[in-house]
Amino acid sequence: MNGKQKDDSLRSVSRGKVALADQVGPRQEKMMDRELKEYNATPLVGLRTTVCGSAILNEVDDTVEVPNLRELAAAAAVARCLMPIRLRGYEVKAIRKIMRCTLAELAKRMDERTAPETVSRWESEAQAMGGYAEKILRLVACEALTADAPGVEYKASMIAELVIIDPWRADPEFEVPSIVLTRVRLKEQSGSIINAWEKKAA
Amino acid sequence: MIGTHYVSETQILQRVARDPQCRFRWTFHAQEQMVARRITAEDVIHALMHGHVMLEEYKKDILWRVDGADIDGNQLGVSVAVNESAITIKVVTAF
Repeated sequence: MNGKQKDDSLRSVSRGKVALADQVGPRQEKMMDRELKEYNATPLVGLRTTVCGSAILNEVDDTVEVPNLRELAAAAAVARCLMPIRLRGYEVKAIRKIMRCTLAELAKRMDERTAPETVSRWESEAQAMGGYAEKILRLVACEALTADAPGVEYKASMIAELVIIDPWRADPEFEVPSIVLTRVRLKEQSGSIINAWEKKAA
Repeated sequence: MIGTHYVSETQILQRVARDPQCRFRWTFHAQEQMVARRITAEDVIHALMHGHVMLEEYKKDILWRVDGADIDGNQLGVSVAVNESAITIKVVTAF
């Protein structure tokens, strides 16, 4: 693209923005936004997650915005790791992605001897994860994500004490309960106020 | 050819996507596609942070078609409307 073409394309982008701003002023935009009492955030997070309040629906655009999405995903992952129900393959994959790890990176974080292929087989459920490996995985995930999830209480001992059950043995149709999170404001030890996602008591 | 077209658009996209203040808005169509393709918001955001604008479309919004990759390096296309001044990205679809 030559200089003139590039300038034209930039101008067209700017023109588009002005046109949109003319149609939808800030006041009107606010009126179109509506806070959802409950929003199923599973497609965004990859884990069964329900957000109470805070998710904003724009009815004109048909879009949803969830504030602090990174922190929401981290809180959901930590909460799921503290749930004493065996992790399914798709959940292992979702937690890994929330950690922003590749297969090799997660394998390395767990144990030098764990192969990326093994993690891949856990994710596809071609191989069952052993109880010990699952606890290590939960521990690694919680340690990596707890800083972004200050609203979910976590201590390493909570993982050690977990008695993980496998409800799919008795009921193959069993569904993992949704993790319900609400947005709260927390005061840090430093005195600063932060937004966090807190797990709602079942 | 990646890198020769829409250079300034790619720079704007990556800058906005990498901004910690960036707000992402997700269409319901995009969410349906993400469930169908088993991709998450982290994958889409990764593709936007590292991807390239390949096409500009004039629809209801000005849409940029982005070629990128998910966290595992699998090819992922995303269609977005970027509002640079509001630091907002509307994710229209993922494919």
